[in-house]
Amino acid sequence: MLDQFEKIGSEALEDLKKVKDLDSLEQFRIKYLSRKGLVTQMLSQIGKFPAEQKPKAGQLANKVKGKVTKAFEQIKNSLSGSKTKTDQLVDITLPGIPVNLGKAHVITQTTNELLEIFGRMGFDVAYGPEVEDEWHNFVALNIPAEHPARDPIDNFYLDDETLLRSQTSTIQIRVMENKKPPIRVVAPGRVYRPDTVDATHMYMFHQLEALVVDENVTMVDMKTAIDQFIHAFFGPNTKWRFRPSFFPFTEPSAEIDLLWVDKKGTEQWIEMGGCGMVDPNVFDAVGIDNEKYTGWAFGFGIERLAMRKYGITDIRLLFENDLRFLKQF
Amino acid sequence: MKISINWLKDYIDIDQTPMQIADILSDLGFPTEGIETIGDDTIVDVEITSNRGDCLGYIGVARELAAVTGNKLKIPQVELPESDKQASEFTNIEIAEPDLCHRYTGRIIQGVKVAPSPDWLVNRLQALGMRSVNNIVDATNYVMIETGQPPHAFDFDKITDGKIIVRKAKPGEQIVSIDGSKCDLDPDMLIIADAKKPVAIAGIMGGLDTEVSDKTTTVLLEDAHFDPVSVRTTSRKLTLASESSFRFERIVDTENIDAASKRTAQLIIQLAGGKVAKGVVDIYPKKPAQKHVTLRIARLNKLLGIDIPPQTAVDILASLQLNPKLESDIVTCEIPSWRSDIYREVDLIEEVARVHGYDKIPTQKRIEIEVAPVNPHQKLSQALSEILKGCGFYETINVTFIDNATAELFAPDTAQSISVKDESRKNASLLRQNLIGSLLGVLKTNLNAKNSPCRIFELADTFISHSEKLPIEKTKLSLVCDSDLRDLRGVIEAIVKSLDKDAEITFTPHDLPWAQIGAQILVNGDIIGTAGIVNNAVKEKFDFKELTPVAAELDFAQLQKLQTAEIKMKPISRFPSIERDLSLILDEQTTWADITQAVNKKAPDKLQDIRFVGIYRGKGVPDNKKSLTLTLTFRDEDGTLTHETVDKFQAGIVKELTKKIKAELRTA
Repeated sequence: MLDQFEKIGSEALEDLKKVKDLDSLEQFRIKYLSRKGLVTQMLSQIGKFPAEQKPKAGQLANKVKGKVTKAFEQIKNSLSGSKTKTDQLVDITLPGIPVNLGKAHVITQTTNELLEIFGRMGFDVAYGPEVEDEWHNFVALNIPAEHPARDPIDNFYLDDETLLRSQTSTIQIRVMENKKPPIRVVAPGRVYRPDTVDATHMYMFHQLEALVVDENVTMVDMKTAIDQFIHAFFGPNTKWRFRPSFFPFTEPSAEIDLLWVDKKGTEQWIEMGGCGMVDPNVFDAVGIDNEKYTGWAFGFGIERLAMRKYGITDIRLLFENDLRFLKQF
Repeated sequence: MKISINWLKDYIDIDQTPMQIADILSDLGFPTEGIETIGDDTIVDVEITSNRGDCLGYIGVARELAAVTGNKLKIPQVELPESDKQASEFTNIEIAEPDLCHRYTGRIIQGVKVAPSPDWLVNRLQALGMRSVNNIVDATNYVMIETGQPPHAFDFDKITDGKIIVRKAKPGEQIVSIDGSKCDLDPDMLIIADAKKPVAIAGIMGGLDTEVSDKTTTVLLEDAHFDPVSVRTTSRKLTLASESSFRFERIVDTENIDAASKRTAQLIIQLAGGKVAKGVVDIYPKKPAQKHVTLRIARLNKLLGIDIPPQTAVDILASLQLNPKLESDIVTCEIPSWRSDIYREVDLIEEVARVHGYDKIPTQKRIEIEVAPVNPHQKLSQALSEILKGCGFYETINVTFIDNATAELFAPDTAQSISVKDESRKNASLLRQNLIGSLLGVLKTNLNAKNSPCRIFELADTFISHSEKLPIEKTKLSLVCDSDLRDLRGVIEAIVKSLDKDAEITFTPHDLPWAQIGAQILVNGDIIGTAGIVNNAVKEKFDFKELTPVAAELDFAQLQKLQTAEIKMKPISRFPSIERDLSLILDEQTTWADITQAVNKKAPDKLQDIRFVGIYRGKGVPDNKKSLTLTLTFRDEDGTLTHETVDKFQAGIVKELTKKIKAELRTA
């Protein structure tokens, strides 16, 4: 019996030598290695040996099977390899099959980046309506009727009382009306101001505004948070400064300038945004105790930031949505 | 405001360079907009914030500089020789609108000789970009630059009866202003009138009739206060603005009006000769009380977060001429008349911080935080953006406005539309009710640029009028692409399934104003949006020729509801599935929905999936018929299915298909 095992093995190897193509290889596989093939059958015969011979028979059968299988695999590999080599060359220099991915708008990308940083700083996100009443857009923000910002020419009024919001500070008011301190939110959104359209002006743009209200919030806290934000967004070596300014809804107020260094190394102070300690009149308007609580607000235009960052020279490109532009970011 | 450093030196000792002056002013809150050298002078253009009308004159700027540098202020001293004749013998002044004009002064200067100004004066004005007119007008402009208080000179002989009335215009009244523009006045406009007619538009511009000319010998010099809102409103209505209106809009120092008038009179007689009549006609109905504001040192340091010693705070306030008195950590200031912006404790805190220097406020190394939960709106909008990115869609941002013609194609019910009143938006004044119109415009732009494929979306708010004060504002996700409806449906299904993997999505036929074939999209029975193939009217409007775009609009709030579904793991089946392909010959009218309905009716619980494979028309398929291939997947979660069992299931399904939708099995 054991001799027969050897015989099957040597016959198989002989047969394998005659295999010249994949078809005859498949016939070989069926004859020897398939479920009912000779080599496979051989293994099932081990059970028929007397107990003392079983280990030896098993060893031999497995050895034969291993040999044949190995030789079969070798031939198979060389045959399939040769087929590829002769019939179908893999040209690895060909481009891949295109996967068309889309993109978020560069303003959305910038906004997301900003929200991400503020998110890490513990800020919740808040949204508000784009059509607002005068209370949220002006009155509660300490912008009295005589303030030039109220002028109908500088706003998109829908009727005498409602308008498209001219600033995202409206969301500050809505947040404070609905939530008691501590408050820490950041609010992005579209804002509207009639303007003659040119390379740097558009009647619709985006702003982002941060607001913090709590007990014992100081100007040091404001400056620290803005410092952390600027270094996270623009890089750890970015130089910036505070300059006194005026906004009706903050007092003291400051303008934030960044020292912008272009590729040639030229340095220039550029206005980045405004900030300040929440004006007590604003707290009065929303019913927050202005003696117990203090707070700060910080806001800026997103287009200006994105345009500076990506070297976009004309704001109109942002709203034209030509794919050749959108694909670049 | 343009500041000539040489001229500024008249009011303060300056030992700094112009650049240093610019930096000091910037640190005080007056940023530099430009620096220009003219001869030996430097002109620094600084921005004066709207709350600091007092710094729209050089003396105001000098006061700020003096506060920081300690340099000596030099306010011009006026000693005015006067004739014996009283001013009140010449003119009579009446304020009919005391709320809009808090003070009006009139001075008379007789015997002036109107002539060109001397070179020094011409040069000073020209350096600031102001045109020299004559010695009288130049004197008024000079004092305006010096004090921030704009005077106006009338030719007294042209003033009927020497009478001045500050009143509102009467209906139909007109005036030709000095610049030659003919102004139709309305009863909301404050004017200066004589006994008969308007002679000036209060605070904005004088009338041509009464302007100082070569023939003028007697001048009536006006120095007054006018209400900022009134001046601004009138200025805007008439589209007439001036250096004068700019200052009145930012509040002039009412208390120092007479001083500015005296200074102007002094300059006039110095330049044009003549004699100043005795005294002034000064109508000042309500002299404001002295303002006192207190500051708690503790509050100052609590708000700023630093320790400013009481004496430092007091010194700063004193340097700003706020007359501080310190008493047990409370500072009481006597606010000078020119600082109309200071009326609360916090205003004094800002003054201290500003002069102390914002750069002295330190930053710390770390901030304290409380972790905020993820905002669901933000989470969904970012998730949608990611899915659509994967589907090859580009996000676009379009303006919120749309023109009537486009709006009507998408929302024919114009009663619900909202428009802005602004003149600049004449052509597109409506707020969008639907975003698809904007997206089709973008598609067209890209088509023209040969940018294809073009798959675009926008996530933005839409507006529908409402009886409440504010309109209904809904966030929508709109999709437009240059392929077909099945492709778009696949994207919508991907979006929905990514939010709720078990969601059941159906498209039901629905008439849409913009679509030739339209559908309502239902998810678990709720309408979440619409989709369709645009109709010919839309195609024509956007000039699409071969292309027939498809579009969809989904409701953001509805998508948000899907996101709340809780996810629970299900075990993966350990038993193999059996797939069966069926090719059915069907009537053209038979829909996929008909097929699935029939299949599901007879489907055993072992049927896991019905998958569409394709439609074939042609050889082997009779006319008016189509052959549809689908794959049925069977699986038993508890054991291995046998082919015999599946054969039975399949036979049952085929029988039902034959019965319900007259399907025939197609044999290869």
